Amino acid sequence: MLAAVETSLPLSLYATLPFWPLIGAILSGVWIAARRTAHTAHWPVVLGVAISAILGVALFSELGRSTAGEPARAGSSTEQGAELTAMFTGGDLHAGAGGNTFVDHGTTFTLYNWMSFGDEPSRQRGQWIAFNFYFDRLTGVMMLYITVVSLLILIYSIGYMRDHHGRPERGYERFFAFLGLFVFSMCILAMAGNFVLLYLGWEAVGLCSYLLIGFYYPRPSAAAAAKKAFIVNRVGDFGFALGVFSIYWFLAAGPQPLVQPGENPLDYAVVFKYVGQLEEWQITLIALLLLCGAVGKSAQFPLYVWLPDAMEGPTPVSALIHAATMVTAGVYMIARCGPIYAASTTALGVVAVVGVIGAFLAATMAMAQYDMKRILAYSTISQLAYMFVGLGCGAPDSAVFHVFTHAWFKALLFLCAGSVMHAMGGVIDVRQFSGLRSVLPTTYRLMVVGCLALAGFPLLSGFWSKDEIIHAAFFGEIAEGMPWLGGLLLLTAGITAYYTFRMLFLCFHGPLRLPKEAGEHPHESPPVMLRPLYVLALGSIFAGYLGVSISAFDAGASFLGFLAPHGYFHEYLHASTLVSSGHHPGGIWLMYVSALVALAGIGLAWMRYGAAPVEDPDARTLGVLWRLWHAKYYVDELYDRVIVQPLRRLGQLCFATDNNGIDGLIWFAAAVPRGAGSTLRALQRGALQGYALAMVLGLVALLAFWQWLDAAAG
Amino acid sequence: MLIAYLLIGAALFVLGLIGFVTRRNLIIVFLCTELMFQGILINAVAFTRYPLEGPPTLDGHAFALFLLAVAASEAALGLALVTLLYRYRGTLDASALTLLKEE
Repeated sequence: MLAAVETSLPLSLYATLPFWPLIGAILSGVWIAARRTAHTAHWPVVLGVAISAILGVALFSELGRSTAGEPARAGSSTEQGAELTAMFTGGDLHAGAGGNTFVDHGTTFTLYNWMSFGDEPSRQRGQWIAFNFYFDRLTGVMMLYITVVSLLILIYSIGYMRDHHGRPERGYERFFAFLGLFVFSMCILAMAGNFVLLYLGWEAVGLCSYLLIGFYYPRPSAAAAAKKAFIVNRVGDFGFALGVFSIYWFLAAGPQPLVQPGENPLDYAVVFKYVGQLEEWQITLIALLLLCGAVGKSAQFPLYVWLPDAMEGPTPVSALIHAATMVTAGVYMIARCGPIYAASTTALGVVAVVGVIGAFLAATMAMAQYDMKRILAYSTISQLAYMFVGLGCGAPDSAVFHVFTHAWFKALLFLCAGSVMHAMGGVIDVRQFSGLRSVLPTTYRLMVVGCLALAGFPLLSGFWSKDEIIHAAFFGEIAEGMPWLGGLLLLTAGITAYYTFRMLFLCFHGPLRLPKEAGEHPHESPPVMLRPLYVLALGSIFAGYLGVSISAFDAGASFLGFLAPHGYFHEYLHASTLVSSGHHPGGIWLMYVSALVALAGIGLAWMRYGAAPVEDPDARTLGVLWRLWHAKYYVDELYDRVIVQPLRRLGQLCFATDNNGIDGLIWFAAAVPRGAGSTLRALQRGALQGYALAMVLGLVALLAFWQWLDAAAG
Repeated sequence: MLIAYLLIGAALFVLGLIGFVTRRNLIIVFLCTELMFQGILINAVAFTRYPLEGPPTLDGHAFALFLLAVAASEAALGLALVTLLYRYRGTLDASALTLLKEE
């Protein structure tokens, strides 16, 4: 194993990163117990996350500086060089059954040994589930955007979770305590060094998601949405748990396990080291089971149904958990498990197909919604699906790049929607208002930036990352099997631009109309909400340039003559567990095509919705198709009919069995002595002389019996 | 001679028993218990005077004296209870006192 990561600050300092938000959350929670003034309850969490953000940025840059494992490193051993070449060209990876091509670029930092494997032989071998963190450059990227975006959204929440008079909402301290707990869980998820700790973080973010979707729990729809999110995630997590079990089963169980004594069988570094030696079907099984978890957590087809409902939570929660961070956990996990997925072409194909189905379906559904946050939620599903396609096409670096850029612009869009909602008194239906450009000028400008980035407008961050995925779908190896993949993605990109700007125009353009909930003078949000938005807007514009390199005016391989895809970000990610099948140079024409597609989508939206018509032109033109999209393909109804109702009936059956069958038995057992008692009670008449008579008669009978016994014996 | 004493004792006991079971006035019922007591005492004294085997002893006499003392104190206590009962309930009819019965 290479001692790959060298940092100037000790790793133990970086290992404290997740715990600052936890301390903050506990302090905010104590605030509840202490009943202090609620309006200061945000300070512990904001400070905790700020410390994490500083550490996150430092970690990102330090990991970038550390030279170990760099492909171009001078004096690297030839063996390692050969392996790296194999990694980047994707040469013998797919054929590499039995061959081990994993190079450990990371460092596993163990806090303490958490659990021992129960049985005697593995305890003798010194195998543990440790509480350890894995530091490689993928961790660096994740920590960078998780902590920074979290901090910005928390600052925004200080203003958002108050009413028009600046008084904190009910549950203000609860909100911040939960968000702090979420940031802690998400950091654990992203920094975990083994699958069990990953699973812990995975479930903890699910718990926080549940708590925060149901933040307005007196509202029945919010409580139902929280339960739906949690239960749908259970389906995926069941598969995920089975995946972790099968990793252990294949690698470390049995008389002759692959894992050697002294190695923890579920540590990433150990799993990836040995996974190449498994049979192909075993790897595929592991990969598909893990994919189940990713599909649930990242809201992919067919388990995406919880995400639109999750918009019942407060808007900062939608921005942070259900757009920027938690839902990308699935993508992160598949990227992290690169060595597993790269060894199974079947699994990669499934990932790509799941992705492209989700991307297209979600984009079409987004076209026919009116709830601003739901449009954005469908867009999130669609964008996450892009990342899945990227992973499936052997371009995980592009997928992680899209995760990174998406976090900025989607958080920006959600927070802008929150700003609109704040001004409109909680109304978020785009039919209820229009022409807000004059009322909320700053929000409008910020929202335009976010929409352009999401639509893939050239030179903004979304353009670079999305285009790379489309490029991989067109030119990757997967295109030989599925040539329609790229085309469908390109079409989806056009739809994305269309529905994004449909929403923008319906909301901000046309004549000024306000809902009555907005009050007399709707106002722009306070600076504490707008300033984080400026930072996010800067990120939406410029985050993409981390993944772009300046190429010296080579018209054949660059966009607009000097910007070529695959820049610093991709170089950075080379030294991680990502397994990329390599960049296919050329095909720059595709960038012009996708730019044109995005512009065409925006233009079409301008033609149809530029004046914010009250009557929806699409509903008129598209007819049945539109109604199908508006009803979300009736998937919720289908699930209700096929899964929920039968389960409910089974539950009712079980309840009836319990109530009548099992309880009936107990009632019967109780009824027997009760009946006997009520029969015998007649004998107890309370009359003194009756008792005396009974006593005498009894005595006589006893004496007669005795006599009879004597006679019989004698 | 023993049988004559035993018969008298048995007659007293049975008379007391019948009175105990059939009479309603608590004082009469109480006197009937005393009657049963005396029947038993006659038995005890008779068996001492005419033992079934061996020479006569004084055991039964001593026993009878003790029993008389116990019966006297018991009578005092019992009559006091009956008086109290009459004061609280206003009746001494045994069939009216059925508090031990569970409804």
